[in-house]
Amino acid sequence: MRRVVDSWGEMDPFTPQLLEQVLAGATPEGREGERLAALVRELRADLLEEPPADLAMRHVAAMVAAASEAGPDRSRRPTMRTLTPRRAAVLALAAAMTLTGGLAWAGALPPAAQDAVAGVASHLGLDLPSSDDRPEAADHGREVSEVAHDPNLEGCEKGQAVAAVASEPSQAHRQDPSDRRDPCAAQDERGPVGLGQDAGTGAPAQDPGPPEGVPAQPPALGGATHAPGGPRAADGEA
Amino acid sequence: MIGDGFDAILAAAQRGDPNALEAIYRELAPGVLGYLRGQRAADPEDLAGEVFVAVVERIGGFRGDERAFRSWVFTIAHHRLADARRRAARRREATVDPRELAPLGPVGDVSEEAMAALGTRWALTALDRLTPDQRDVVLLRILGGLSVEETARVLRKRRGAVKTLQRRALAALARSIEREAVSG
Repeated sequence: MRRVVDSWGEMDPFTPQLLEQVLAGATPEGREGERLAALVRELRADLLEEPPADLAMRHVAAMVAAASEAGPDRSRRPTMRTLTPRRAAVLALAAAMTLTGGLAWAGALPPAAQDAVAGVASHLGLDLPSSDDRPEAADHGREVSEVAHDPNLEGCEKGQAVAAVASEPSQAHRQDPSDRRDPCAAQDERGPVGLGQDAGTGAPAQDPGPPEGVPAQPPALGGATHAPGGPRAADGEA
Repeated sequence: MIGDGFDAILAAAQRGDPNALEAIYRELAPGVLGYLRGQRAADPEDLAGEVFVAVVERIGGFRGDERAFRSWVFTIAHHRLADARRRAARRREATVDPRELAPLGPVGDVSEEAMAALGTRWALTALDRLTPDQRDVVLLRILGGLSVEETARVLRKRRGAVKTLQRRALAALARSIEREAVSG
């Protein structure tokens, strides 16, 4: 049996500093350092052994077999063919975006649909507006629609109310309308106002422009403008 | 330590290159086997084989330098050892008719048999006087070559806890050596 020769006398505890020195390969001076170095040396001699050749061969063969089972590119994750929750969310969002034509991005879907699409998108880390933070344009259209369907309004007054609500977002861009005459009163005096004419003056109606938050249609490349659903304006002007 | 060539060997091993896998085994097998033997694993050789197969199965996702890799391998070894001990505990709990065991021959205490097989290695005897946690720290530091921080990560303990375990383990080892010297 190997023995530590008791030539050191009374033993003091080994300190962490001594251990760090011994593990770094140094043999610290002093009795404690020598004893600790001897202990580490003995532990390594007893336990750190090269595996026998047959055992090493068996282990390496098992490792190679495991590597070949997993495929040649071990850094690549296996293809996910199962329907994982994330994959299902991606498919659902793709379907929703296809069906709604991007309205979800603008937050212009009906509240329930907008919330559903925004919920799916949030699982994927995408930030789509919910029905609570839809842009004003979407709410504006609903308000105009409500006024247009109001059964308490009729005739010129209904038209004026719809026009007022519809043009509300652009009021800030208009000239002071306070000097305009009451078109319904004028109608009473002169009969119906022609379509496309400013009530009272008979001049062409001023384009209220797009509602606030909805950009005007941008010019097409090359300066040509495209009329929706019609021929190019530039085609006729060229 | 493999040193400068580690990155290339790791990349090759991640592609399944047999030579790279063998190089990794040669570098780490003595430490892993020593750790498992020092922990008195029932079958350290088989368990070491399981550890290295698990390393290969997960090596594709590993990112880091050689020290991190070493720490990662010992983490796997530590977990495999814990799994093996749980399995052994479940087997011991299972009720077995002693008559079924008779044909297998006499059965003794596993740790006594292990001690007998290891002979009179005084350092191992000293290790056996440590608590399991203290032994973990000593083996990972001395055989695994891990730092206090790396040991803490492997054992999922705080750095301060590992330093405390280490200090107590060193004191216990010092006392053990003293006893050996006196009795010798």
